[in-house]
Amino acid sequence: MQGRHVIVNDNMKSSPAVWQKLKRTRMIYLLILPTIVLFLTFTYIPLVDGLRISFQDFRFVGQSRFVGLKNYIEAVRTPGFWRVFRNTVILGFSNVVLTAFVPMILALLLNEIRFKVWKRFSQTIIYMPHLFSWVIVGGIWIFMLSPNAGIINAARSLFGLEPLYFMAKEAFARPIMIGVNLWKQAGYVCILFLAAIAGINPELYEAAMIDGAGGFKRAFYITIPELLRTLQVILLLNVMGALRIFNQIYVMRNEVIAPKIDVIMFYVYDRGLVQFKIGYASAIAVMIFLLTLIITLLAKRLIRYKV
Amino acid sequence: MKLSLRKPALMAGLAIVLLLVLPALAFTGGQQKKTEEAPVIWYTKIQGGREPAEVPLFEEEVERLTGIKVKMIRTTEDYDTKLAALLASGEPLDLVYIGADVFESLWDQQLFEPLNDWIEASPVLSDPGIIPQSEWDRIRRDDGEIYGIFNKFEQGTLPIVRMDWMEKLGYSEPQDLDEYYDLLKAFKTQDPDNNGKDDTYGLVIGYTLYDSPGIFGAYGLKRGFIKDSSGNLVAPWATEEAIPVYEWFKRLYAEGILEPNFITNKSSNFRDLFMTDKAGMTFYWAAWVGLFNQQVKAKNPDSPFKARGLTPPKGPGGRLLKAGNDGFMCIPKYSENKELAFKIAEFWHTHEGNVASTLGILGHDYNMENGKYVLTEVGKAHAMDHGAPQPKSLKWKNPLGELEGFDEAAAIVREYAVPQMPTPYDKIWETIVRSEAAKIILGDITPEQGIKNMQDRFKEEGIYNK
Repeated sequence: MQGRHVIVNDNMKSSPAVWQKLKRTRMIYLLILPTIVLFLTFTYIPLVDGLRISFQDFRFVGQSRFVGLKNYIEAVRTPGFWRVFRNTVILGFSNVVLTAFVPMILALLLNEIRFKVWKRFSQTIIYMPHLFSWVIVGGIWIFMLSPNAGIINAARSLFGLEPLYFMAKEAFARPIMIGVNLWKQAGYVCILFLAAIAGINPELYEAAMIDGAGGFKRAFYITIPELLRTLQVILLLNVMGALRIFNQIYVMRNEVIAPKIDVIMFYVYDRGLVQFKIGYASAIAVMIFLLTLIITLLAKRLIRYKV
Repeated sequence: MKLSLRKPALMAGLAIVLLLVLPALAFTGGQQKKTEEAPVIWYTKIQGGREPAEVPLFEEEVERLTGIKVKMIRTTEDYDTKLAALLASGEPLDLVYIGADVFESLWDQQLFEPLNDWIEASPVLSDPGIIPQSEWDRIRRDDGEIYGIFNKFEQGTLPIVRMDWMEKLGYSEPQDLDEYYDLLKAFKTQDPDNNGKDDTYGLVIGYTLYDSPGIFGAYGLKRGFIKDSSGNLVAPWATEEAIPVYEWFKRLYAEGILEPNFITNKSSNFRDLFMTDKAGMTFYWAAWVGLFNQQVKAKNPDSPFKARGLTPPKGPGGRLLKAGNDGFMCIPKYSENKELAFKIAEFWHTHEGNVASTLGILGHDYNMENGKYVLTEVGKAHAMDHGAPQPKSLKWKNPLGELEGFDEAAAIVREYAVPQMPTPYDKIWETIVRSEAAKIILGDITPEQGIKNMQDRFKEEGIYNK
């Protein structure tokens, strides 16, 4: 085997051999080509274009003026930017942690249900919110939290409590956004954990049971350690999306709670496509891109994730 | 093995061919069309067919009436965002509908063609019997040019009352804020729908005071920004003069007279509540007086429902309403079809254009029977709105008459409404004033604190220094 490797490596040095290998694997390259072209056209070229615009006083028609770092400096000097940045960090970090650990706990609990029909029913109920778009989810929760028609206030009234306008109180704004996001996403992540649990070698449980381990110990010493790899992946995916929260905020925000929940992506949308400060918005978008890259690399290192 | 390789090869080859050939075909297709006859590409939010399937019918109708081919792109959701994206990408648009606020934000981009010479040369648009010269002067920029052609008579918002409830409870038309309060309280407490339940509100609104300029108008406070004597921007609703108005709304909320979802209500929410016997008053567009009556009666012809516009309350500042922001038809500078685009905008203000923009499409929305216009069922559902339910033309008289209650409401608006001064900061104004106003009304902060917050936030945005 060793010799064969050496021969292959030697052959690689000569261009006819490279050509031979390319010819042999041409199907793979051909199949991947359309995807590469699409990615270049719709992701990377606009990305480079966005970078260029971020250094310009952008004009829709005619020549845009190069302004250097002006848009970036203006962004970091604007108090509004730091306000939405703080909101993004708080909401993003909460989402990263909660939508990883809570579904894991849910999966562990679901895994303990022995009655199959009930187990499937519970899975379906938990998973269902993930199927709805944010428009539907946002609408449902705004209605459920409404002061005069919502189920939450109806429940409060049973205890003689005054109705609360949850969606108009800054103090509730972030918990509501975090909670609703968890409600929507938990089912999907839970299914991923359940799939991982299903893949755990049953002999490990049998051996543990022979050794007298109870349900809690089996979960603690077998299931959870076996789920760590899945948890790593989910944490990494959550981190990559942490700074890109948009849809939920767009649907559920109102002016009163906006100072507590407006996030960077919404800020970019507002400055770029509502107020038409395209260069300024592009500068912030570039900063988000770089920040996401750095955070993702850091997170990869922290959680020791290897592809 | 060979077979399994060939199939992916075939698929990959096909994918590449499609990828390369389709754009080329599209390109050559576009070229061919240009040599034939390039249609006027008309990007719009409100004009044309009401449903997507009716857009082609409307295009045919315009071609029948003008001889000009048009291609309409009608977008209702996120219109401004999509418009900006299309303009930025250089999409070949020839005629675009644009609101005055967005036009103002885009003004320094110099995107649109100046239209002075064209308007002066147009027998339709230069006719003061159709559009008065004062209206053109109102939208003339500092450089003396006009960059947009009006779309319609924009009306305005005003208090709309359940007149049947008001009469039943023995109230006459309220004249000032105290009388408005008394009436609204009666709607809340005197069971105007006679169902024996405490399930009605005095007032239902949405988007936190969005349509409430009539109340501020009692103190002479205009919506948005005005310029002071030094030319600086000032927001009248963010001054101490507005405190009595906030106190008035706060009282309504505290006493349960104001429907409590006034911050999160969308238009459809509060319209529905008004039409389903849940509230005695709302603040909304004059055209909706007619539409409220029509929609309720369409479902229940025997309903006593009677919506009517009210004169706004009189206060120390007199009476004042806000006219709707202008909507314009503009021609992008890069359009290669400017002349025909202008002809379409001109057509919009002819009698035929007015018929199309109100009644709609012949044979679809209406028919001609013995020389008379007769709405079809589709036309009735469309409520004579195909982009300009009330045309700008002073010569226009709807051959079918207006919907119940509209004429009176429109007369009130014409008498008391003035347009908001457009600035590039209007969207920021909306966010700041409405958020602080909501907190005041909810009782979370005092009116004084709310006013201070508004002013601080305007300073933070750099608006009060401009």
